[in-house]
Amino acid sequence: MVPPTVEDDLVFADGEAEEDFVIVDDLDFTDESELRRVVGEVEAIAGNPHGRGLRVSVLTAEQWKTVVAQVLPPAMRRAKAHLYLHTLRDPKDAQHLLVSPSAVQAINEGQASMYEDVIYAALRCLPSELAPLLRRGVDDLIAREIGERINVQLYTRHHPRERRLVSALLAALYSHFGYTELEWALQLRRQPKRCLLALRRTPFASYWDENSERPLKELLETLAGRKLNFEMPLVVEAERLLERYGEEEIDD
Amino acid sequence: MTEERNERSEEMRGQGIAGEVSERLEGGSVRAAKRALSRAWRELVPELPPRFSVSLRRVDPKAVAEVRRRMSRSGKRPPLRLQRDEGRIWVETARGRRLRLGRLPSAEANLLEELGALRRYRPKLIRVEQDEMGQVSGVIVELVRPLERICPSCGQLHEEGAPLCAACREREGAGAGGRSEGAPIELQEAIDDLAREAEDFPEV
Repeated sequence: MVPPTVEDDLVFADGEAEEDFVIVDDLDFTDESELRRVVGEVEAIAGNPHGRGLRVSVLTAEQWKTVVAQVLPPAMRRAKAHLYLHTLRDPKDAQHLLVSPSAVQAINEGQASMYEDVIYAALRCLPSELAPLLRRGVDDLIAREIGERINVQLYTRHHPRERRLVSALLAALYSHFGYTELEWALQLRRQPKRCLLALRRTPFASYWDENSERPLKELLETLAGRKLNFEMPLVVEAERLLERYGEEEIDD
Repeated sequence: MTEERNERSEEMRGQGIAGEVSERLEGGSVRAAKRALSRAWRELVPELPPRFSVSLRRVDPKAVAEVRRRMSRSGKRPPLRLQRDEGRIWVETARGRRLRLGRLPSAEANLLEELGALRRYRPKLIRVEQDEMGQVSGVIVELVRPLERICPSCGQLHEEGAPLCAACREREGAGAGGRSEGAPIELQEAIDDLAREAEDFPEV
């Protein structure tokens, strides 16, 4: 798919036999333009236009093996887990995405799962104060949009339960305030507290008050907390009530 | 202590391994995070990686130069194959006069042998590096196997062309849907979180 950067006219040195094998340039099939286009698309949609951009580095096979082995627990190192990994957020710079040469090659071949891999990794490199649980749901929604924009059929249901919860929360917002699900998803990613507080001004707030014994304020504080998880009774209740609220809205 | 740990893992249920790792890290328990991931990661990936790159050992610069010449004539990368010889796995041209570029590193070769997966992978040349003197200093090859499909009915991986696996086709009749095996997003996220704890991570 991608033309190699090989020179048409190879230059070999004259003279001694061993110099017959002198090559003018590295021969490199890892054309990074498609990778950078995809990461650029992620930034264009979900990045902060006033913030620092994402940095992307494609490592050599040896560099990749080294950096990934460095972060793997010994048992995973022994089991060669590095062979399964293709992206890594640089621990020294959260907005720096490290990519394996395999990932570049796979993207150039149009392999959808590698697009997914890179898109989700780039999204994780973009800073967000949102709780990881909600961020996963939001990332599924954003990845779907990116897939449509770059015209690649992606699988974007990696976090179905998180995505259901986020979709229901966003529906309560856009059905009252307008705008699209994506716009609210991006808003939730960038300004989680502000976005969650907006729920107080939707009809869902009175629905919650009527149907729950716990105050809405407590729910919003829980959703805004970093340690949010599905084992919390309040989250389970929120899932149930948001789903019912959505169904009743459709019926109305 | 054990009770406390049980209580904690109860609390973490339902948020996947990525959530569990990030929760344990935030609680300051790096070792517990590593243990949890080491136990669970296999379930998140297929038995064989779909593709990975290796840097060849014992590279033959003459063979590499000849391959370059062939490429400049045809404009295409030459098809390569894996060949077992004297207990090593070599990467060589699949057509025309045989040119042996180099051998797979032992660790990767042993893994493929152990898994009986040698025949499933095809090598592809992706990079030839040279040193300051212009000598070939490295050859990077990628090993790629065909992607499998995820049966939309039972979730198992299978190789057939149809979306449903053979067992489900028999049980449910032909159906639409299905996709190729996906990216291990959860594993990637857990590793990203764990990476923050890595000591002496190199500057990249």
